[in-house]
Amino acid sequence: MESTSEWRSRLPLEILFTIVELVDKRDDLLAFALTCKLFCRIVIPTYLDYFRISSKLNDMELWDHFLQNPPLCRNIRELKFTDGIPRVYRTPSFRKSSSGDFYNPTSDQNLRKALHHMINLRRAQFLWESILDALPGTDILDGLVDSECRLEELDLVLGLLHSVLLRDSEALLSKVQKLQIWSKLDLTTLRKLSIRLGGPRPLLRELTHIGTMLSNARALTHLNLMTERTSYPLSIFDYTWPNLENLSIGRTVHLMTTDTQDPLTLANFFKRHPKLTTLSLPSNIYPRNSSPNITLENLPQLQSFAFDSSARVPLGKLLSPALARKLQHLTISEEDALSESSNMDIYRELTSLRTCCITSGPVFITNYRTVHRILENFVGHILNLEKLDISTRGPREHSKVYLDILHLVQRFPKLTHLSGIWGNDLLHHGRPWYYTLSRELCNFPQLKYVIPLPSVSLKDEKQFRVFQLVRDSSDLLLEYTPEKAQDYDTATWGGFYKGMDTAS
Amino acid sequence: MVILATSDNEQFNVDKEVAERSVLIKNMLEGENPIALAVAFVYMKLNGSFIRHEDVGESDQSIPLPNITSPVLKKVLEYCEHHRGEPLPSGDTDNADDVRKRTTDISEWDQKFITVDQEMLFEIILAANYLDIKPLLDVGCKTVANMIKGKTPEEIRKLFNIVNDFTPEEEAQIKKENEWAEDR
Repeated sequence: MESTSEWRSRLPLEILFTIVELVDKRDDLLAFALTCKLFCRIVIPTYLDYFRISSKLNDMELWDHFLQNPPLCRNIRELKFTDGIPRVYRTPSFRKSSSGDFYNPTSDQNLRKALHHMINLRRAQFLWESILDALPGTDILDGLVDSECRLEELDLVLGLLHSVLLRDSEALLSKVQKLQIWSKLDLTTLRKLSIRLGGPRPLLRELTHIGTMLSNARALTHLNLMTERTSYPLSIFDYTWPNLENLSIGRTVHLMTTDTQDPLTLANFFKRHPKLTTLSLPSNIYPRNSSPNITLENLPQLQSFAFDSSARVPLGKLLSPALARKLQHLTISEEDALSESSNMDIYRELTSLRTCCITSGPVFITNYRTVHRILENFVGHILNLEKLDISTRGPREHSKVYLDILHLVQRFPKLTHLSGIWGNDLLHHGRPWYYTLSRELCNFPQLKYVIPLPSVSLKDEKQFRVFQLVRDSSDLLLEYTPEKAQDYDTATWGGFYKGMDTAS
Repeated sequence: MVILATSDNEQFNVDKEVAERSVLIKNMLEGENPIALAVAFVYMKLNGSFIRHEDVGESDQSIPLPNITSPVLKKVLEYCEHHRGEPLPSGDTDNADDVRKRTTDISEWDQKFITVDQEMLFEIILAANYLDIKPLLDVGCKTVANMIKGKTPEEIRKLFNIVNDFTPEEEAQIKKENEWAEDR
């Protein structure tokens, strides 16, 4: 006999279904399902299964499955398409076929029809990283437009891994032009948009619909734009998104404004976006002279700033001491960090800093002591630093890496997260040092997580390996803990890593 | 004017336009809902009165609402009064239903209106369901859905007075089974 509850006995099931259907977040649905057995029996099979789907476009068996069961499509809130790289998706009564064939554009009708039924889709990721030649045509996107779904998050990746040379550019351009159907999507409810584009310059110039998308998405709170290898003409600073909180623009986006480096354009943009809390701008936005007149004073709520000016502008010129004192997350390029030696005053104001990321630029720092020297200049003022990422190459001598890393950890008594690529060389060429260092790091009780190297070819395709210090084991001190992987998403880290997608 | 009688024997004189925000009442007034009419008929018989088709509607005869108390009806009528004149949902098409469900925002007035204690909130939902006032039902359901968001199972149990009938092992098992494994 199941327990009784006043609510359950009074609210009819059809109302309960209506309520549950309005809960968008999977975690909320799971929490609801875990309240009692009755809700569990209703929520899990009806709403939780098929909540997220991640698949490749050519998985025709999957799309057929949906087409034969249209009600299942209504459960889908999150959808990720990839271009053929195998992914895991959770569909309890269905298993992915082992077919590894490329997507066949001639058989996408079922997919289109399945999309048509996905009326509750909220978050969509279209990760078409390679094979631009096989870019899906309008049929698929037509299905999405037909569904009239109210997307809240969209992550669009096109051709990031595509080779520059194209065999049949005319045909490709034609396909890309068809993609303008993106601009027909109802984006009025979109909160987070991430667009990452690759491919040759002529191709990107055809993507004029991106501008239409941006102007339609008035409710944006997060925007992430990035292009690879080429510039993309976009009058980004002429737009207005009243609720924008997080803006990240990749370094190669060519910013077309009335004057690319017009300080007034930027100043006006910042005035129109006072809610910005997180900002990452490309290096080409900073002028070459030493007095830029670009300040962030119109952003009173700024908490996170990613700074890379290729050493053109001192940080102190952008931030006032008052704003610097409020800053909690700073990402700074090596070049800029090194050029700051003559302008250390601003460092002393970074008293609220919790996370700091030093990124690799064209110039690699070859000694962590250089990083350390930079950090040491304000270490006395940011004793609260909790997360430190050093994405630099580091010295070749393993003993130096060992000593430098230990030195850094000693300097920051509240450091709980330490990440970077410093474990890479050690693991592959100096394994004894790697394990010795691991053992030493276990002696710092405040240090909870260590990510010593990024993943490049991991089977599980995580962007980073996640390690947790295991103090009881004498054999393996850094243990891979995939169940902790979610701790390292960008939401938690607040755009900690340069280049990571903070909008998705 | 239409007279509505609540379960606690209070009567409300309501403009027909306002009362017809309820599809149930609208159909009763138009004589298109034989079931509702039969229910009302039985109710009136039990109360010693008699009801005829022509009596329902603009007459002295009241429409009985045996499932609704006067405080709840007062709130429901406040909602109907505020939204009088607005187009009614097109009814039974699936598409309209879908659009309704997909819109998660609640207007400012509706939000203030629905800021009531939990008991009243559920009563309003039940009344909106009974009277077939879809927009009000939506507002109520969305409010409950918002109350669920971001809460742990235990918090939801407390909020809605739900008794946990899972053993810790069962709960752990369900969590494990439903852990999302994408990209791992």
